[in-house]
Amino acid sequence: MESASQFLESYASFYRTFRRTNEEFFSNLQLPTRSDIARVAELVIAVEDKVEQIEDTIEDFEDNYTKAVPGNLDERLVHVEKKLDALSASLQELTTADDLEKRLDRVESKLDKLLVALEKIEAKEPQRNPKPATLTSRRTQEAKRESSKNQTLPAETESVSRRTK
Amino acid sequence: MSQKNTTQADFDSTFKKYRTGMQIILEGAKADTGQTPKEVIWTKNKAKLYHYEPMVEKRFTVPILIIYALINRPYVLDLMPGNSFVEYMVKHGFDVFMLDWGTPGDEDKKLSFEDYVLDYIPRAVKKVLRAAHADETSLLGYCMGGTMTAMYAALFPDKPLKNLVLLTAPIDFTPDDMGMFGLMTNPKYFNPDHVVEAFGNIPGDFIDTGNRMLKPVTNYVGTYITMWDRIMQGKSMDTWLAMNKWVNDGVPFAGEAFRQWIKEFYQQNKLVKGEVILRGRRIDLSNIRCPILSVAGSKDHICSLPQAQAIKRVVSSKEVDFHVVDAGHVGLMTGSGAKKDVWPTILHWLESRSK
Repeated sequence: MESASQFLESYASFYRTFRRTNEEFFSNLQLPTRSDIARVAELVIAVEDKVEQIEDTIEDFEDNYTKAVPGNLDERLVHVEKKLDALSASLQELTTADDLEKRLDRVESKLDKLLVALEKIEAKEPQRNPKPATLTSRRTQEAKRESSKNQTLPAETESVSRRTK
Repeated sequence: MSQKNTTQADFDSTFKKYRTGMQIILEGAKADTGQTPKEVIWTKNKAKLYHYEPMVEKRFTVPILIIYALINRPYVLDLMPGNSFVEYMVKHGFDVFMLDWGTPGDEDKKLSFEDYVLDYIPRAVKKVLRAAHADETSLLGYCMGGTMTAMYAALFPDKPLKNLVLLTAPIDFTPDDMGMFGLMTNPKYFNPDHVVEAFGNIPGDFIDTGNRMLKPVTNYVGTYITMWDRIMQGKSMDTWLAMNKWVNDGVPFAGEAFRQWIKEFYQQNKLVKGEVILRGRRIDLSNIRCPILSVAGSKDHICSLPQAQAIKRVVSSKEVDFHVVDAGHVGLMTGSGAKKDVWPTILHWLESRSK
């Protein structure tokens, strides 16, 4: 083992010297040597490494984008459009509901006026007939009053009914 | 007349056999290897990542990435049709990838384990996941590739690493367990610095000679006796030629990586002690938690049984299956026993863990 080791050491030393001498010889002749070509190759490898890093970045971006945006963009746009349509329909419904509310308010106010008018009529009625009425006679009187009221305010009720329609 | 014809025919046949044998000796073994259809899906410097084309419908969602040693060609796992581990796994519905380190040139003499374990393997894993549309992968490391895979697993123990298969992967480099290798790499006799300064990258022949000298008679004489024997008996030479081609097709070892491999692993046994530091990151094998299958050969003289067996005591995995085969370092995956024992063992172990 000892002698094999010594042989290897000597051979390595000789090879190193031979190589160095050759390098110097060729550089004196202004010719590129193996080391020169290896240096150029190292630069090419470095460039390749940079290109690979860019490629990796693009691939990472692609992967992350696919994960963040599953499915087709067209499909997603269709979904968005459908949602927008639904939103506008809801808005329209809301507007209609708002109109109805206003009209109901007007009906209510008119009904209030009617009520006030009825109360006034009622207030005048006991003065004409001071005798206390029985339950049945009171109901008949109320029915009569209703019919007379319909006769006295025909135009107003008509307009109310038309609006409610 | 008839006797004369027979003698002539015998002479022609024997002459033809000698010519075949001499041709192999003089020109080297020629064989078509690595024929399973594949596609290169990524390259980095000299390294290539192969994706083997499916032969049947994919049955398993977890792909396999094979990582081989830096000093040999990975086609030993895809030797020839009918004798290919890769083909076997693909035919059973696995999505198989392989990282081929390529041949380092003078410009790569500074490549170290930092580059291989922290740059090449993680990127290859990423490309595998992308190509296989998977979240996890199994790693299969062979020989030095197994050691590197274990280092990667210790640094990146979580997802995407699902399973770890180590084939003849040295983990513990205690000199007493390494036989002749322990002596050859003893700091008293061998200083890697001198060799690296002289050669830059360590020539493939240098490494090959070192490996062959572990069993010189078998490797230098036995191989050719087998060859002549097969030729003379008229047996098929296909496997012998493919194996011989592979044995003589060594790859140079990048200088800096060689220096690290000899000093930090063989001479200082830092891996098992948790003292290997790559770019400031300490490799602690106890970080490994995934299921492990380790296969070792009882006749292996490159990675001895105790070297591979060490994986059982250093990792934190609950599941560590250690399988011993009566085979050598290479015969373990290419010999006749491989098809009957090792390949089915790996297949069944991975099948249940790859869905």
